[in-house]
Amino acid sequence: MKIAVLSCIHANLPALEAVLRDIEKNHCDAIYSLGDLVGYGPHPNEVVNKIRELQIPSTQGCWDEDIVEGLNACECSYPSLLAEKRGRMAHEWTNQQITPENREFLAKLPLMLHLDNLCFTHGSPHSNHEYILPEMDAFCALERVLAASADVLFCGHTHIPYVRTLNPGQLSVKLKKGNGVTERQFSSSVKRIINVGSVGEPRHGRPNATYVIYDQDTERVWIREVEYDYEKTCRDIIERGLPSIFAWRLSRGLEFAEKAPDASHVCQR
Amino acid sequence: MIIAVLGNYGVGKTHWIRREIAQLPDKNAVVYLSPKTDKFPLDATILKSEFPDISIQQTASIEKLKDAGQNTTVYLEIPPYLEWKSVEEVLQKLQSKKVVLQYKGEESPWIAAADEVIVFDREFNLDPFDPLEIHRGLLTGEVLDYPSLETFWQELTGGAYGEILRVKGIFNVFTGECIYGEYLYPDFNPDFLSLNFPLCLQGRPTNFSGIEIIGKNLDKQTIADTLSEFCLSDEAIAYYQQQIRDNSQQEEEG
Repeated sequence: MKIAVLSCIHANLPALEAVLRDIEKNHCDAIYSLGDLVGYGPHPNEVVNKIRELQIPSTQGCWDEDIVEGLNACECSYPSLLAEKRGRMAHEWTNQQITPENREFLAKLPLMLHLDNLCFTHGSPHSNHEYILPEMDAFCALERVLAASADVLFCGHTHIPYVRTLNPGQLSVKLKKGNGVTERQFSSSVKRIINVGSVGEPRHGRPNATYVIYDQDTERVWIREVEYDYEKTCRDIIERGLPSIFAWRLSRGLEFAEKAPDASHVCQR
Repeated sequence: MIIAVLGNYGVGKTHWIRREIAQLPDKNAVVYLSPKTDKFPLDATILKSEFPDISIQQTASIEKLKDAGQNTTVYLEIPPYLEWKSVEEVLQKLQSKKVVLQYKGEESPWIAAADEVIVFDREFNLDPFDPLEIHRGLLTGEVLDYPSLETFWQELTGGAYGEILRVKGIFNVFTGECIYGEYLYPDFNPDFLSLNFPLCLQGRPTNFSGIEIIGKNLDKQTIADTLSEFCLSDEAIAYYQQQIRDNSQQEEEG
């Protein structure tokens, strides 16, 4: 079975539509979304409507959660004062635009989805605000996959796609309790982390959307990069009253504001 | 001796003066003056940070300059936007040596008057930036969030707020440092140089800071608004300064 996995659409409808066309061309059997349907982009309701209309199973992203619960991020969310102010501006705008039905839909999205030995989540199994960066310590990375009870963990949030294979190994964990020390042994089979990139807010220096196709039978992964009419999104950003700098940044494949500062940082949210 | 340094935007007048001063044995015998920049002494501040002993003059009469030129080396950096005929008259009265810096292949308006010509090994066409605009933002007293400055610098020099030919800026940042950044089209330079001034760890800094942007179709309002987004409040400045003082104390005790 061929599965298309997409994430971080960020209210960019032309990018989502182009990705859906590409998925159709590639004859995928199922589509999963890892959330961040809204935030920064100019089409929050259109994107949520499309996901609902196509009944695409989706997890809740950090932006989806923030729109429901209000901003409550830890320091990993914003690398600078300027980014924070822009993030808050985008949050406020999206908060005003989103319809009650779509807000309710976002509120009900699960944090994780499972299919056989696959797990789908936005950030990590612990938090949809946590970045699993490719440089993350191997032990921590393996812990995240084990915590998901999966062999393959699909995530997004970093906006840069990658595939990381964690080789099988023997783990030894020593626990200190009072004066005693207990030791536990774990063995782990080969595990994979697949980051599917971002449909609507690329961070790889080009405006193109990225997503992943995964073949369950062969375990092959294709990272897809799809061109779309980003100028249409840029025009809508300006026409709908979002900061024009968002359009400039999108057209250059730069993140709008959020960025993981440090692979070793553990999100405290 | 009086040396007038002339040349177009970004051709390296201040850098040339810097190299010349570095070779002089007695920095006390150096005077620097750049006419009509007294309210925005960006280049003078950079030179003063590297050579604290030089004398910076804001304004001076022709007689005073001539007197200074008897015993010291006076560098006159002439901004390219000054009207050449009036400048030429003054330079003749001063009997100064005229050094012209120019890009390769450039038809410099000052070349006929030059005593020495230095050609920058690079071709450069200023026509795409016509009509040139100059935008200066005074930031004295402000302390900036450094990661935001990096983002703004990338956007500014990447063309987010207009077509940029040249940017120079002196900024006070939350570490207490005063830093300098420069850009000349099309070479992106993400590095800032820490200027040789004492760290500001109490109150707001009083040294000059500001940004000079030369380009075309500059969105001056958005530039100003964006800069103001990451100027730190008194409380934030005090917080960072306290942290730096605490860290220094711990290092001294350790």
